[in-house]
Amino acid sequence: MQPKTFLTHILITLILLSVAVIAFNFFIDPYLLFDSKRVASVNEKKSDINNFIPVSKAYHPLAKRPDLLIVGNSRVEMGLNPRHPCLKRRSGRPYNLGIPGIGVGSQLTYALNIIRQSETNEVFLAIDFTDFLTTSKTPPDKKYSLAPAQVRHLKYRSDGSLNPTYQTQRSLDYYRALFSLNALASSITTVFDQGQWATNRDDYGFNPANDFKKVTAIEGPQALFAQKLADLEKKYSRQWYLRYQGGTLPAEFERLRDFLVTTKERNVRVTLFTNPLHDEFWQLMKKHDLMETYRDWLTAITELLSGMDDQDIAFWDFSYDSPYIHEIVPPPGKNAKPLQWFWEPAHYRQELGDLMLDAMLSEQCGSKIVFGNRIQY
Amino acid sequence: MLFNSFEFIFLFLPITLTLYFFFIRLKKMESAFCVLVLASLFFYGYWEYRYLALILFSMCFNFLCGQALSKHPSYQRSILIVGITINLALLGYFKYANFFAVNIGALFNLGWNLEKIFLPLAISFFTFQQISYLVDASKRETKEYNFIHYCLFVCFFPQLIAGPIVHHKEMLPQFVKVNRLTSQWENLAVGLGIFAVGLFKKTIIADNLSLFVQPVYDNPGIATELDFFMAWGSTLAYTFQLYFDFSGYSDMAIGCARMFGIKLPVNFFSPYKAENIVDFWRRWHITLSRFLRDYLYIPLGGNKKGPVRRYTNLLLTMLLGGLWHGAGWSFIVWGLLHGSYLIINHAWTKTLGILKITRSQSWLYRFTAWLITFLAVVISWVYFRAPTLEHANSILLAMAGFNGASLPAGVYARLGELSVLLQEMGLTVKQGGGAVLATNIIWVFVAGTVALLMPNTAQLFHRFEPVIYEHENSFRLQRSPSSWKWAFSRPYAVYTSILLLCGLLSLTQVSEFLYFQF
Repeated sequence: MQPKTFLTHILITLILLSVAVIAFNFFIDPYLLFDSKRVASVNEKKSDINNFIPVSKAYHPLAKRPDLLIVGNSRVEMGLNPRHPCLKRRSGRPYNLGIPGIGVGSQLTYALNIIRQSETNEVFLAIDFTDFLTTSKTPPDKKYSLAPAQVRHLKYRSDGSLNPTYQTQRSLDYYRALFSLNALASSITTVFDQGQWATNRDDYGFNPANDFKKVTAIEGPQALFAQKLADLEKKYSRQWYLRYQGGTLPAEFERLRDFLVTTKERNVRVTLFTNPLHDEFWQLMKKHDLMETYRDWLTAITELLSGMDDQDIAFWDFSYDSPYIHEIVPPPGKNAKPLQWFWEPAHYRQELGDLMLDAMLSEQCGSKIVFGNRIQY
Repeated sequence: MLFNSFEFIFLFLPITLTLYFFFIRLKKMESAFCVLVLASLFFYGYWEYRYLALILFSMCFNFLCGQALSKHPSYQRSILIVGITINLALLGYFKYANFFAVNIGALFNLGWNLEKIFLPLAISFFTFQQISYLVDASKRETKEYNFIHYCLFVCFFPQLIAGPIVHHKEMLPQFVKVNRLTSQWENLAVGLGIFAVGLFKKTIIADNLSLFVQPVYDNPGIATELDFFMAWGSTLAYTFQLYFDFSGYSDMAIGCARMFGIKLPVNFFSPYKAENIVDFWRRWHITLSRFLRDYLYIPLGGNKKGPVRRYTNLLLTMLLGGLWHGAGWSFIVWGLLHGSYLIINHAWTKTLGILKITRSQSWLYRFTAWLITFLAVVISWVYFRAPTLEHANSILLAMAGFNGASLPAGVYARLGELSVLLQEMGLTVKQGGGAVLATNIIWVFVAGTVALLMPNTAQLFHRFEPVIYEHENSFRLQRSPSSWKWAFSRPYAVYTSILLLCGLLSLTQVSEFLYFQF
């Protein structure tokens, strides 16, 4: 073969391979960016999506045009299933916008970004007192700002202004999802990992917690508890504060207030609730003298709501001491059964989430309240 | 500008090639050289335009020195001393001023506090290249009267940033050869093939290995948590990362240069296949070893002045080789370690000679020799990579098992009966990290297989004479020992396309080359 012909062969092969990669990534859609059709045993489960949730949930909900959002962190993402019968009856297009590992400010910005681009009229917003704590006694010099990495994928900033780099970022995100090695590796992983425990996010944004199911089945529930408690111990062995010197509260409270004002202006009904945590989590809080801080936080939230003078906002507390949080973690062993209500100290199972939705939707759905207190303010 | 970037692959390289060959076709060689020089300066300035002045000054100064050496033979020694001193002073200021100020200040409690001086890109490479030119010019081995040609020798973009370190006498004759058009398509095809191999080595192998290196080496706080498996996993990952990163860069440089019809000297020749440390240094960063040998070790007396002087010279050469890589105690320790290894190797050879024992060719002897060499190199990389001596020591202690060994619970749970045996051996269980450990093992295995069992780039492309060897038979197996022999055929067109595709798919996760910091 002549060198010139050889180069032509390379060029043609390269173009063909590139087109094939783009088509493959589009069809498999490992990050849920294209809302491609799910085919059983091929791309039904998005088994490599875990590290891409902030990107995925910036775009995927837009395709779903939700009228009801569940907002929060990983706890609600795997705890509250939008397919709950009461929720389905209430809303045509519910969506779970829970995003693991991001703070309150980012969660609210993600939610407002969707609200501004869809016909959302109801929000279930989960809040955790640990997300409001700071490690500093003095307020930061700069005005509260979100880490750009977390919100650069969003069209609207938290104050409603347009993100000037949105179109560029969006193009880059879509390009990466179609023509990058990460996307190709994720697509291949997706095709080969469609087993019962494959990671997933369904079309409603819900995380079926298959990763937790897998570890629990293989290593037993105590493995997840031990790992999480070790992480929590490390985190909370530092000093944490709810209030700065002088008693001022961190900016997260202001962001929550702004969110509630904006949603009211847009006629979006908000139900606020606290997430339940297992007793082992609370024991750790006690050990690190954070119980008083927790009570202070709950009071501060209640005061914030009463200051809003908006009785439409329902506030449910699921973080109180109840029989559901006292399940005993079985010792290690092959026959260790999973807990009924919790995966590990900080993450509850869908079964408990269902009881929470039963409670919050009891008026509309006629369901019984067996768990949860509605706080009057 | 990075070789593994959109702007280089889709804009800079095609435009430069087009312009260069446009002038070559018109037989306007000087215009073609001007294109290459301007493109190379743009390539350099794209990174940090403020350092363009430095490289321009350096080239002007050394060109004038070279001219003076040719025109004033009676002042040759003085001119050479001035030339080398100015070059080393510049390098010393930018690279070592902070280090010496901090250490001397601390030693004598002087409270010196020098502002951080940023290291200009490639200064170590272009300084060494020009020192070698001055020395060669003083020996009448080379000369240059054309400034554009001289600039081309120094700043030809494929080798400017991180080598290979080239000699004036091996580069310029190639540029001025007039029959460049006759094999233009062959050069383009071979160059593209070599570039594709390098791009793959860098973006796929090295960059994936780096994921296991940073969490251990860039996190001194991890020292107390570091156990046997983590320390070895990370260090072996770095061992192969460095090789694939730097040899990948060298391949890309060799490939780019070949597209312009230029052959660069071989820089890596399967160094981890070496069976002794002397052999390792014949295969690793060959052009630096050559420089250190020709312009430092031999002028110091080499092996001509008795064993004590020889070993002292070896130690000094490697110490300075360590310092060339960076101003830090860990580089000094790395250099001293390699100096010591070389001394032991030479002493061993000498002892065998005295005892009249011939080296065994049995597989067991060769395997043991390879293993000892490999482990010695791996241990030295710990100092090369760790940010401080303390951190390097803690990693080595963990590798020696002083922090115990623990397996992730996920891995442990899957081991069945073996887990009981491991527990009896003192292994403990920890939560998390199973997936990371498994992928670390897989990547090290893959990289090790490629580095130890596959032919290297020079062997793969042997029939196209991809590189310049110092001697006709520099290595025992310059041809590919396996059936992997790159050719103008359909299968190799597909392989090359796949390698290029992998590289192109990685362009959105661009990472720098490790040797840019030196």
